[in-house]
Amino acid sequence: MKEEQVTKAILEWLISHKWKIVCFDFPQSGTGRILHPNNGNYDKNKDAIIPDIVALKNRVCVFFENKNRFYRPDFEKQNAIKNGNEYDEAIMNLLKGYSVDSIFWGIGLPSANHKQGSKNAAHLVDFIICVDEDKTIHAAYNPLGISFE
Amino acid sequence: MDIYGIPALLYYYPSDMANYCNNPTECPNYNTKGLKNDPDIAKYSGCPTSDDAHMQHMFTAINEILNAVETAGVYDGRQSLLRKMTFREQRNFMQEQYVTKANGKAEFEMSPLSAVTVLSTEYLMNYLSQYEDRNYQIGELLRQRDETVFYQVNAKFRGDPYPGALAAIDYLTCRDGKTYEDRQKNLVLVFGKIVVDNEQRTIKIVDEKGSTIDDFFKTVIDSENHNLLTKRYKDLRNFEIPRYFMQARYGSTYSKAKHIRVFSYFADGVLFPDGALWRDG
Repeated sequence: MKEEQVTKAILEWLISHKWKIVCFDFPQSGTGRILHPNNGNYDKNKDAIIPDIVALKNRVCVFFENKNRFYRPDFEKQNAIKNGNEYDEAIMNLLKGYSVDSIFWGIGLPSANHKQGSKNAAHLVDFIICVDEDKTIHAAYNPLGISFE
Repeated sequence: MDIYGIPALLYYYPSDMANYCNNPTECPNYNTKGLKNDPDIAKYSGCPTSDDAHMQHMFTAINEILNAVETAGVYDGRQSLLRKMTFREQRNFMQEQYVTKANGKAEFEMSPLSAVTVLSTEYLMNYLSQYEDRNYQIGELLRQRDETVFYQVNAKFRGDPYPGALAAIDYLTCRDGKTYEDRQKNLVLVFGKIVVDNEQRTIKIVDEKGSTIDDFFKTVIDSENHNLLTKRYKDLRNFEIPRYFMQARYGSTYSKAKHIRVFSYFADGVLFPDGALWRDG
């Protein structure tokens, strides 16, 4: 399963559960929204991030980083953004016009690749959404009880 | 299109450009960089809106291609396409756009030809003479063409956008036939800054951006991870067997990095401040 398929499956799932998609990105899509660090050089993309999915429902916002395999740096990146404020200006700008109370950061990956590595890293993020080969989706890790469905 | 007789068409991605180019922040699709995407994200994520006139024209062209191939087969069908109005209209539109956007500039004043220097092949051969000795003389392939087109890439070695630009330069300035051998001029890619020495009728290549032939070689060496030909049969996994069989036929062609393949295919030579590669024979 490619990253594109993971992202598209999650998009379809979120939309079917009435989430509003703010932005999304997958390789070669050209649709991603670039978020620069505060006081960043907007002419260059150094240290910029492009979330794979940003979605909203009932004043809850979720940021996804998706992959076709376990990749620990993604978990660490989400954790850093969650705990820091380096990208707050860009995030506030992205969500301007939307009513948001809480933001959660998580990971999307194929069910077949959610193994010991991602289970050990789960504590770094707020949720892990898994995609099966037949595109069914489930929340493999959701300790905060985010109401995805 | 002139060389192969097969349409090569470009279509604009639907956008707010036409109506908001002077006030982009007010365009209705500002959140998607001015691009008009299909609203059905679940089904068509990342796709352009199908309502746009350019997209409708593109679908018409695709339908014409399918009809032509179904009627006459792939080769004859493809050859018949340039007679059809759908393709001629788009080709005319592309030419009008080219003239409009050139805005009076000559071809050599625009990218990628603005990065090109055309010299007598004597300059190239004098430069490459440093690699000749008693036991080796460069062959006739390069010498038989009077002129050489040097594409200067004053940057660190990498792929995108240079492979595409190299191919474009080939078709724009060197090629008069269907294969890379059908050239009136040599095509040489230069990673570095070219300094022309008219007195000595040669060139110097200066490093300003960290261009080194070692980067080319490193990329090729790294590709060798995909080479199965050094393995014994008992070391191959079953799914590797068809790939081994293909490599036995084609060598390492399909296991090299794409930009290495493209540079090696199109360029008669690749020059760096610290080394050179060239075609011979």
